[in-house]
Amino acid sequence: MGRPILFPDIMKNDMIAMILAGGQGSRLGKLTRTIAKPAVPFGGKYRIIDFSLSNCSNSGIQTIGVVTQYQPLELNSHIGNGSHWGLDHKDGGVTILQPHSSIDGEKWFEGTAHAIYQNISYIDSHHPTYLLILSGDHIYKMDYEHMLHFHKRKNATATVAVIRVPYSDASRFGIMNTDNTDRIIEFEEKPAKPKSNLASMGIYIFTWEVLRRYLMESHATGQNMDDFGKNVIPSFLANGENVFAYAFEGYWKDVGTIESLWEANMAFIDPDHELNIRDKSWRIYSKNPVAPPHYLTRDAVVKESLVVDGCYIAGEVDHSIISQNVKIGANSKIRDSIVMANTVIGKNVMIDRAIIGENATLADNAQVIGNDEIEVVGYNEMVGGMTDEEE
Amino acid sequence: MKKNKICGILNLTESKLAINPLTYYRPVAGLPFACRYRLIDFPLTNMATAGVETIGIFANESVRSIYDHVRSGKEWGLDSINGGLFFFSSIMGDLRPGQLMKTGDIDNYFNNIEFIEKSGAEYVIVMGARNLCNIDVQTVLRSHIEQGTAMTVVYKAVDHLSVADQDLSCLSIGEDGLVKGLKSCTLHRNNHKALINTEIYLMNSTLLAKMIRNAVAENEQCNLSDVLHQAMIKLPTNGFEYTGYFKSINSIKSYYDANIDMLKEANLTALLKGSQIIRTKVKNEAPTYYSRTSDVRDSLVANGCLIKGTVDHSLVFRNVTIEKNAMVSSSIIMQGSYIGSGVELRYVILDKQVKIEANTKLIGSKDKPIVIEKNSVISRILEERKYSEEKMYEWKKETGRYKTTLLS
Repeated sequence: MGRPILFPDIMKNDMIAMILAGGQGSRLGKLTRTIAKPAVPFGGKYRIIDFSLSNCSNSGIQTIGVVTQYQPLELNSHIGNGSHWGLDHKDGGVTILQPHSSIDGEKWFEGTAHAIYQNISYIDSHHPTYLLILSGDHIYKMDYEHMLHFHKRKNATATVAVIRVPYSDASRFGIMNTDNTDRIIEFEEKPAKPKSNLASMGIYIFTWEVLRRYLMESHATGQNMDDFGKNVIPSFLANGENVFAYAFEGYWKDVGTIESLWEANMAFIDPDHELNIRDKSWRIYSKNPVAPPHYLTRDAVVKESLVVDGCYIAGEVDHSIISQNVKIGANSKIRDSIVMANTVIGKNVMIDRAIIGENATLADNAQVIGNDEIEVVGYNEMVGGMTDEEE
Repeated sequence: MKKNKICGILNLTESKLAINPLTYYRPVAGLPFACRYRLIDFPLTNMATAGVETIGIFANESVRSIYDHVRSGKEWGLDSINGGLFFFSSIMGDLRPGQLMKTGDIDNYFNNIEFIEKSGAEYVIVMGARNLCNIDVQTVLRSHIEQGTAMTVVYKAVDHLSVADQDLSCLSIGEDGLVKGLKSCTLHRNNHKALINTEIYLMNSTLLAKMIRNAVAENEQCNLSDVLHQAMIKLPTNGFEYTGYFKSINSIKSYYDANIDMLKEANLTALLKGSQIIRTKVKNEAPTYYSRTSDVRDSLVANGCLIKGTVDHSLVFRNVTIEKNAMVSSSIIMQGSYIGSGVELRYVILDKQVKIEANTKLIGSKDKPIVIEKNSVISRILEERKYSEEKMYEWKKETGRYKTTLLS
């Protein structure tokens, strides 16, 4: 990924990362009713947050705070002590940061920057020079060390990672207008008439001392400094800070809706996908439960699909993703769908254009067919079931 | 159970000549099995699940491949503050393939007898890795305590013995459940069930230490297994019947059969998902991709593969690529191998990282599968009769290399 750097910038605790994983992701409907968006499964054996965590691990970042808020249980058990990503370091490692009450009152996070403000003591305890702010919602591979290198070279106090989006989509993003040195001169949140197509990826590097001062001062004077995009970056620009745009090239996806989650998964099946998931030099790690290899019976037909350990497939699978420990009975047909882990699918089941949540049960002869909209079966949900004759 | 009531000994000095070339570079315990396991995973899981926290691994060759696999024992929960894994390796000269070990392994046990005497555990369980089973050690311990005998040995009753099992030892057990004698399976009469000795023993740890000291005092150059065989006859020994899946891996044929056995769901469930889930080192592999041209039937496939060809009645390990128009049937394809387009493999075992170039044809037979060594590159048409093991050995002596590169 990019050119090698001879002198690594990320010395121990020179830069620490904060991953904002509190997002509810309400547009993902049933899939985020009981778990936070970063914990939503992706690509057969990953969860969305695995990409940010693996990027940190591969970039040599040893201290990571994961800020959770909404439905944190699944996320906490997934991350554990971070050992699955090689992040169980003696000093630092992964720390889950949840809102808590103190004598100052409730510390419920009001926004991205507010979540950082509430965790100042955690950040201070690691004495970082630079702070990397990440979202746990995005699917991408990125070397943060290169971004830090850029931050230092530009003598910036804040660097915002940006990606070129089609002009037609630009009005859905926070757009950075830059001069010819990549310095950001203007920030526009969802502009009706975008002047540039450099969209903020929600990834920031701050010189911690400077950000800390802004957060403390605004709190003391009662100014609203809750959100990085809406408040912090504009305030930095207004005060003439050196704010630069770091242009990222490559695959980057914010799967905000059922439709986009389904599309991103379907595209992921292609072995030539831009994300290059089989690249050994930048692995995406995940929590890997032990399961036997998957078994395809004599009647199984599996085409253009991804299959993971522990599955037992007796039916037909076409252009779909089958996650860990899924059972698919005889004469069942699955097309253009995602079946999440530990789901049991009976015989003669038809699944088309659908997402089946983890631990779901589809009884014999059940049908889950999406048409214009993708059909979703929630976690632990049961479809079909006993009829009177069977009782 | 009280902490540290029982410690374990994993005996990796098992005979391995008959499994060459798969065992040139690894002990039997290091043999890859069922797409993602190694044989050592079974005894380690058997012991760890039963709460055995301290395990001594005794070997007479380099334990690099074993150590690389188990490391701290974390996957088996053996990296706690109590106990853990201890490696005792005594390398007996230069053990090139074909060269016999001159002395037994008893000296290695004697030199490290502190492990047994200072473990503080009341009981010790001794196991190897070549006898594949998924056994509940707690039940064996309970039976041992109830019977109150000096030793307990675990056996497996089978209706008929295959040719490959002729080298095993069988027990004869009296009506009182005690072991009466030990004999070669070749002497077994076919009208009775054969009681195969699984080489799993449980006894007081002080008794085991005493046996080792005595054997050395008598200046016997023998193996721990010989000492245990003798003790089993001399001392009152309780026979414990194991009823799950069992296979002794002592030849290429038995290794092949055990893998192929896993294609039957009943066997797979009994051995890998039964009362305890077999643990192994976890790798971060991508999901396996099946292309539109793939046709895979009756096969077990691990993560990380790219499959574009035909696979039938076979086991495909991690990270294997099978190109379009390739045909793999009744074969075992180990980790990292590459199978080019137009290749035909029947009854073949490919060790790790083998490359089979396009249009190569390898046809073995059920009784004599063709085995291709680790890291080989194969690119010509071979048939079983041309590929005799004798020729392979000659070729190796001439070149002094173990790696077989069969280029025409």
